[in-house]
Amino acid sequence: MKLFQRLLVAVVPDVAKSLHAAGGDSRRAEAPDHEALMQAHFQGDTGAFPRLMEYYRRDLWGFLRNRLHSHADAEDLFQDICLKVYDKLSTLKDPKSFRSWLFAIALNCVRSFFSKRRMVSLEADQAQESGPSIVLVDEQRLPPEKLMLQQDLGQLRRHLAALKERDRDILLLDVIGEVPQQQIADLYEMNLNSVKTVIRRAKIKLARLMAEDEA
Amino acid sequence: MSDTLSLDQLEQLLETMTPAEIRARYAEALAANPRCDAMLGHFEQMDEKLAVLADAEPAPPLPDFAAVQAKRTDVEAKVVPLRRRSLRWLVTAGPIAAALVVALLIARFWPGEGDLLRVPGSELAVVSADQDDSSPGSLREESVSVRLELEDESLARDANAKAAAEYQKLEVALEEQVASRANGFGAEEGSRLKEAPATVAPAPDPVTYPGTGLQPKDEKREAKMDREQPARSADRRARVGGAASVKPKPTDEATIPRIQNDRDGETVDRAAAKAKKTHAKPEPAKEPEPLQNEMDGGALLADRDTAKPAETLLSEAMHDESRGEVEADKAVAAPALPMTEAGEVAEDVTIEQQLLAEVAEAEAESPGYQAASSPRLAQKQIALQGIEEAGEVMGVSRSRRADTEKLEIGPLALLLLRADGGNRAAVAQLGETRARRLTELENAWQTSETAPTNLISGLQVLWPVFDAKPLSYEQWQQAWRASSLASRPAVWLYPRRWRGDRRLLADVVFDGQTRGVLILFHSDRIELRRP
Repeated sequence: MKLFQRLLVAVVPDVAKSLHAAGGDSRRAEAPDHEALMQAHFQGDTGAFPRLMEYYRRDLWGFLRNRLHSHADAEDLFQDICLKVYDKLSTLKDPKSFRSWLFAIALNCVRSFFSKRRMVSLEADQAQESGPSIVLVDEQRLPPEKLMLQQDLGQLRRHLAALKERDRDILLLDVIGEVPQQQIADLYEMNLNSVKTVIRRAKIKLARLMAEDEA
Repeated sequence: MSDTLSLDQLEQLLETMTPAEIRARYAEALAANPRCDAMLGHFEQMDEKLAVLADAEPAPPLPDFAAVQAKRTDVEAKVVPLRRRSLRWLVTAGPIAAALVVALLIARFWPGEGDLLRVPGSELAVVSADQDDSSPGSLREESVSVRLELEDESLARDANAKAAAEYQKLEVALEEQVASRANGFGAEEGSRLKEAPATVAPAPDPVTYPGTGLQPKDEKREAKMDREQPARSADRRARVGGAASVKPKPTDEATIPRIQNDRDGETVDRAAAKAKKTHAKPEPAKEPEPLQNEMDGGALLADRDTAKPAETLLSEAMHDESRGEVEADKAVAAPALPMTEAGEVAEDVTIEQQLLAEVAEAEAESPGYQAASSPRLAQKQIALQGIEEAGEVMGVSRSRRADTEKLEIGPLALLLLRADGGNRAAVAQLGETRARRLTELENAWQTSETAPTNLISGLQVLWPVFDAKPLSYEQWQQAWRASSLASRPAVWLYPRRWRGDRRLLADVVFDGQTRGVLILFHSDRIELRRP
C-alpha cells in the first residue's frame, strides 16, 4: 500500500496532493502528542522518542538528501542529527516547537559539515544524480510521465544546488520541512516578508534555470 | 508592453504579479517566446515538483537509541569511579590548601605594630608627620630626628636626665645665693669673687631682653649699688676690664670641636641636646611665654640682681648687648647664674650658653640644615614626580598602541559580501546584535535595489567579488542596479576566530573559492577589510 502511494505521488502530482491531504502518507499522519511523548521519554520509556522521531523521519531525510549531494553523507548526517536530538531533548522548553527545533539542529549540522569541507562539491555525486531517483519494484510498469518526472527531479536537484545556500535552505525548510515561515524567519533573524520574498525568488530562479536548460 | 518578452522581464514580472495575471496580460508575448512560456509553466508547477523531493528516496531507519544509551552508560560506568575519587580528593583538599596558603600569606605580610617601631626612623617619621612642616621649630626637630639614630636616642634621654639634674642643682645654688645675699653680701661674696675671678657669667637676664625696657633699670641698679658699695664697684670695674680677657672667646664653628674635646663632649652634647629640646618644643610664637615665665621668675632674678656685684652686672650687660635675642634664648636655656660655689659650673654654663647661641646661629644659617630637614619631603616629591612621569609615559604608550592597532584601509580593502545570518553557531559566537547586523547586510544585498551605502563606506570595492578589476563606488552602484536579483553572486561567510572584541576573522566562500576577510563591528555599521 505504501509503495502504491509512492507511485501515485511520483506520477500524478495532483492526485498525490489529494492523497496527502487525506492523510494517506505517514508524512501527513496525525501529529503525535509531543508533550506526552517527551514526558514518557524522560520517565524512562525507551519507545517514546523513536515514536516521536518517526513522524519527522521522512521530512528530515528529504531535507538532508536534497541538501547534500552524496547519499552516504546524507545518511551519516541523518544518524548524527537523530542522536543529537536524542541528547538535547531536555533542552527543548516548548514541545510544540519541536519541528523548528529539529530542523534548526539539522541546519547547524549541515553548515558545520560544509564548513569542514569549505567547498561545495558538485562533481562527487554526478553519477548518482544521473540514476533513477525513485526506487521501484518493477521499472517496466512505469508510465512515461513517471520517466519524465524522474528527469525533472534530477534537473531540479541540480538547479537546487545552483541556488544560494541560504535560499536553498529556506526553500527546503518551507517545502520539505514544512516549518512555519514565521519560525523560519526567527531562525534566520529575518522578518516574515523577507522570508516570503526569498522563497518566491528562489522558485523564480529555479523556473528560469529549468527553462534555460530545456532550450 | 512590447510583443516580445525576455526572461529577465518575466522574472521581474513574477516578483510582483501572479502567473495568471501575466498570462492574461502578456498572452501574445508568451506565445511569441516559448522559453518564457516554459519558464512560467515551471513556476506554476514548482510547488508540486518540490513536494516530490521529499519522497524521492526512502528515508533510512532511525538509530537504535536504546543501544546507544546503553553503550554510553557502560563507558561512563567504567570511567566515573576513578574520576569521582580524584574529584573527591580535590574537593576536600583544595579548599583547605587554599585557606592555609591565604593564612600564611596574611601572617607573613600583615604589618604588626612592632614592625613599625623596628623600622629605623619610622617612629620619628610618624611623629614628625603630625607637625606642620612649614614651621621652623618642626623643621629643626625633623633635622634632629633625621640625625639621631635609635642608639643615640637612649643616650640623648640620659643626657636630658643629667641636664635636668644639673638644672635642678643650679636652681638650688641660686636659691642659696639669694638667701646669702639677703643675709649679707659682704666678705663671702668678695671671697667668692676672688676665688673665681674669671667666672663672670653673663646674665641670662630676662630684663636684658631688648624691647622690654629693662636695661636702663639694670643700669640704675648698678649705679645704686656702686654708690652703696664702692668696693664692689671697683672690683666690678676690674673684672670688666679683665672680664674681657677672661671672658671666653665667642665660640665659632671652628672652636666648637676643640671645646667639645676639651670638655670631653658630654657636657656640651648634653646641654646642646637639652637646649635643642627646649628650643624646639615651643613655636616661635610661643617663645615669649617662657620668657614671660622667665620674666616672672626673672623678677625674682631682678631682685637677685640687685644683690649682684657691679662687675658681674656690667659683664652681663656687655654680653647682653652683643647677643641680643640670643641672650633671651640663653636665658631660657640657663636662667640661673651661679655666682658662688658653682664657679666651674658657672663657667660651664657660660660657655655652654655661648656655644648654644653659636650653634643655633649656625644651624639657622647653614643651607645643609634646610636640605637635611626635608629629605623625606624631597624623596616624596621625587617619587610623585616619577609616578606622574610614568603615568604620562603609560598614557603615551597606550595611545601609541591604539594608533598602531588601527588598520590602514588600502584602496582595495573592502570586500562586499553577503553574510549567512542563519548560522546559529555563528549567532551564538557573534552575539545577537552583531549577528543582526550581518543579517541586515545580507537582507540589503538580497532585496535592495540600491547598494547598501549605510553599511559600506565609499571606497573602491571588488564587485563582482574576486574580480580582477575593482569598481569605483559609482560603477558598483550602477552594476548593482542593472543586475537582476537572481543573478547577483552568492557569497557565504564562515566565522573563524575573534581578533579582539570587535574584529572577526572570517572565510568568504564564493563559487568554491575561499578568501579571508576581517569584519570590524562599529557602533553603527560594519566595516570589511583585508586581514
